[in-house]
Amino acid sequence: MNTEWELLWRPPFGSVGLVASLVGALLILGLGYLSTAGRPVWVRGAIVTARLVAVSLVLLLLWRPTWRVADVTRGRDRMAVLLDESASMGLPGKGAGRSRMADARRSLAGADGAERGWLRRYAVDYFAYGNGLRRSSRHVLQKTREPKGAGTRLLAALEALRGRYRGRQLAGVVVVSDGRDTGQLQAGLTPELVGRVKGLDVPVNVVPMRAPSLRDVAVVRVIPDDLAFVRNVARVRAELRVSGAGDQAVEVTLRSGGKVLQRRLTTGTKEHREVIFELVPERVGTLVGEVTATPLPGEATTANNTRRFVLKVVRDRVRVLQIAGRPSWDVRFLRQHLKRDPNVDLVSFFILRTHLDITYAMPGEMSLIEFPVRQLFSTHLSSFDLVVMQDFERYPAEVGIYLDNIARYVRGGGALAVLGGEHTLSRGGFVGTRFAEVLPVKLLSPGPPSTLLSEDLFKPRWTSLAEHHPITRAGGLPALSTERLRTLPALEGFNRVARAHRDAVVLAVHPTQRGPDGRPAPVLAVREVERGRVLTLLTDSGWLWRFAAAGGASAYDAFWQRAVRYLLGDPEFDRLRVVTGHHPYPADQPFGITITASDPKYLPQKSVLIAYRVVRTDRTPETEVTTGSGTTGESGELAVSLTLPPGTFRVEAKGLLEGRSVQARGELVTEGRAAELARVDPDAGLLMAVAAATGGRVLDPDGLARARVHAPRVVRLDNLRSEPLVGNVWLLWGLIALALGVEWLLRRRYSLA
Amino acid sequence: MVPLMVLLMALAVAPRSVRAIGKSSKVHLAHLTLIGGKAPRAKGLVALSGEIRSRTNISMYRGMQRVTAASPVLLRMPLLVTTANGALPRLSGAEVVRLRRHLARGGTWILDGPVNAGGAALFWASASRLAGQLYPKHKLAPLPPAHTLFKSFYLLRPSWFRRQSLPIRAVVRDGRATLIVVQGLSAAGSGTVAGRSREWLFRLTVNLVMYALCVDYKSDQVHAPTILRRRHWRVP
Repeated sequence: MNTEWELLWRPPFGSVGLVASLVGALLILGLGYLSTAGRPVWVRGAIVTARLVAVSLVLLLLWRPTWRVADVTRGRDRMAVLLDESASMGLPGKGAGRSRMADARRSLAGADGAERGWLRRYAVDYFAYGNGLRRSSRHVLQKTREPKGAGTRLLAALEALRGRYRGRQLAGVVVVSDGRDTGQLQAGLTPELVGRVKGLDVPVNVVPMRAPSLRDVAVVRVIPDDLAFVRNVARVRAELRVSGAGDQAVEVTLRSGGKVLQRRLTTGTKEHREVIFELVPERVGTLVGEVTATPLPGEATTANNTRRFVLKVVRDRVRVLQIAGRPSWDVRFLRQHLKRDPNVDLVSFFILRTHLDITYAMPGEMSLIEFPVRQLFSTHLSSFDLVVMQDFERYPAEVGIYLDNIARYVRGGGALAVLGGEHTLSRGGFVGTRFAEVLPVKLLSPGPPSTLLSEDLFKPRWTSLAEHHPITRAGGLPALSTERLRTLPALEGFNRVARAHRDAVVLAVHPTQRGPDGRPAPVLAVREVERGRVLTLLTDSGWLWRFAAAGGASAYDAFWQRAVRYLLGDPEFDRLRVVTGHHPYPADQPFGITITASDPKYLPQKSVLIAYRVVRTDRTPETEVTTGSGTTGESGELAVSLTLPPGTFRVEAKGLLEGRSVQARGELVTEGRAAELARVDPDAGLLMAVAAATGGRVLDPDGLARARVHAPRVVRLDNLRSEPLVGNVWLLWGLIALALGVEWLLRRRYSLA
Repeated sequence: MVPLMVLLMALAVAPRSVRAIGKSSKVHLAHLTLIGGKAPRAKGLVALSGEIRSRTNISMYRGMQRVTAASPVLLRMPLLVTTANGALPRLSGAEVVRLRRHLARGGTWILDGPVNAGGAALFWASASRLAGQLYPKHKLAPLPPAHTLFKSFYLLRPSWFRRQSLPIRAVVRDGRATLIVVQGLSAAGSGTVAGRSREWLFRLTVNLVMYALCVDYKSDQVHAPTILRRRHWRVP
């Protein structure tokens, strides 16, 4: 038990009375001083001093100072000392030839004295932190020689620490670090994060490790294109930080599969430099590459000179045949979309006139050519990967005799997109043909136009299947979702059909109109027919999604990019998929990937047994690292946790879908200390900001004893009493009268009264 | 020639359309009126739509669709036509924003001037100023003779239009003529222009609409041999 004293001031009317009495006192003193003008200095000094004494005593009377005396027993609260064990602490520190960690160890050694002081009142816990928080001891921390942590997440560590002491008093924290952060504080203590730091409700004292100016070149980030198309130029942007090297040129190399693809020389005096590489992927799949900056002489570290990346390469160059029954806006906008795609070899044929059109010109005065029906639908059909038919009918172009060829083309693995219009589908003369048999919809028998067409404005209703189908589901690239599709402008008019085929996946339906079967009328449907795939969009106003949509063309382009990729059987849209990110994962730490399985309608498929193995691919020969198996859950996903060393890996998965063995694979990269060492200079500013935000102090390495901490909490109060500072008020009045009397005498003596 | 005749004969049995799937599937010559401007010869545009409908397979809208830059339907009408008897008014700030957006998304705007000399001079000066408002870094310029516009349906000779003092100028953005300035289209439609000139202006109208709908379709390699043969292997 201790007796604790506290002096309390109790002016009348609280702080208002305090201020008013102070102002009054200053006024009285000022007037006293002014009234002695022209007199010798010692006389002025003596008179003002006498008044000062009198005024001070009056204030003592007014403010009634009181000692509060308490006999208390305080608990032994906790203090925490956190040592940064990330790789950057292995870089040169302030001491000659010493690392920052060596400086930190000396600081901890000097904590003996401080700890003896703390130990009287607190229990001190020691932790190491980097990417996470680890309980340790001073003894163990002082033995740390080579810090290896691949990241520094101070905020996460502090929040984890706070979580550990939930319900217990944490009096203070001391952080020993170089301040270089790779977590949320990477960009400094932003206003959004200040609240979280303050919310820790504990003073964080910091001991910044300093360092001299270092010479270093680091590859800070490598940003490849989101997607690359095979045999087309893709870009890889590398950001470098060059410190202490002046205008020295730095050579940067792009490698993939052990081969040097390109070298670039970056010059200039700027610390931040950028290099852009262009490469042409040769295969569909995943390209794993690395960017390396050639080390400078005397670099602080070379562990940050290489960064890896993963580039997803999709789709080979495809031949697309676009045929249209007539020129229209729908035709025009889809043609422009396909023409913009560097991987599409587009052949278009539009019927610009019919026999009933009177051109008033000789054939030689026009640019029209014969519609090459036979060549397209007989000789060359199989050379196309995708056929797009827009508002196309059977008769005018004599397609009828080749309809069987189109059906055969689809069943053999071809892709077909049939778009609506006033002359096609149920009005196109296809009813009863083999062509109609491969469509995702059943056509209506010929009848009056009003029964086959609708002119109303409508926004399609996206079905629950659309949430999962690769054309319309959220996630993946290019970005699209049913939510985004719902924001698009209304379509105008659609082709009526009898119903969707039983094997079809209906992605969108009309919001109000129903088919003869009573079900909502389909607007967008897809279907797998033997080895081929077919899509029908039962309107010719899809172009409005591009021309009239707020926010530009992104949704229209994304829709068609995805639709084409789906129709062409892109591996990204397979039903068994290994989903990996294309940013590096942290090495030697657990991280998660997902293997997904879906049914033919792309709904999640649960209880699928999946076996997987992870193969290291950056060494020859490739080596198997780990294997495992599991079953998919309700969401059709199997979550796989991996801990891998730095390198490049391939995850191979195998599962049984509808009795058929299906395989999938995904590539990934793990990275060690390169991200942690992207910046080599310490960041004392960040630590100071954290200390300032939490009410902590910035300490010298040998000044840990100065740490600011909360007082230990009171666990027992035995006695509490108040004792006035001035026990005898009459004595005070007497002293006031004496001081005023002295002033009066002086004034009389020097003719000031 | 023979295959084409065969094709035309085959087409003879085809049924004609009687109904549109929706208004958006029709092609409109949307008559754009600027703030402070007039829109003369509206009936001429209706007549031009009729000519296009009778000469081509394009589903043209039969009536007249008037729009302003503030119309909600502007972004459902990719092809705009503004007619003038003389000078066009300056574009307001709001008009510049909305029309730039229209053209950037794939729209085409045709400015159609008068055929009389006095009005034409004022028209061209104001059209150049208007193009400068929309595209400060680009100028109206004559289209090259090999441009797709001159072969999008009819094979036209730009030299004929030059000789008739009916120049054709445009601003080309991203490989596409977005703002096209011509004279006499609506005049031909309303019957002010007669004879051979009228026919040539009709053909130019057809080509303009076909160009707006098909852009560079007729520049595809598959069309090149036929077009060159019909032009006797000469660039017009």
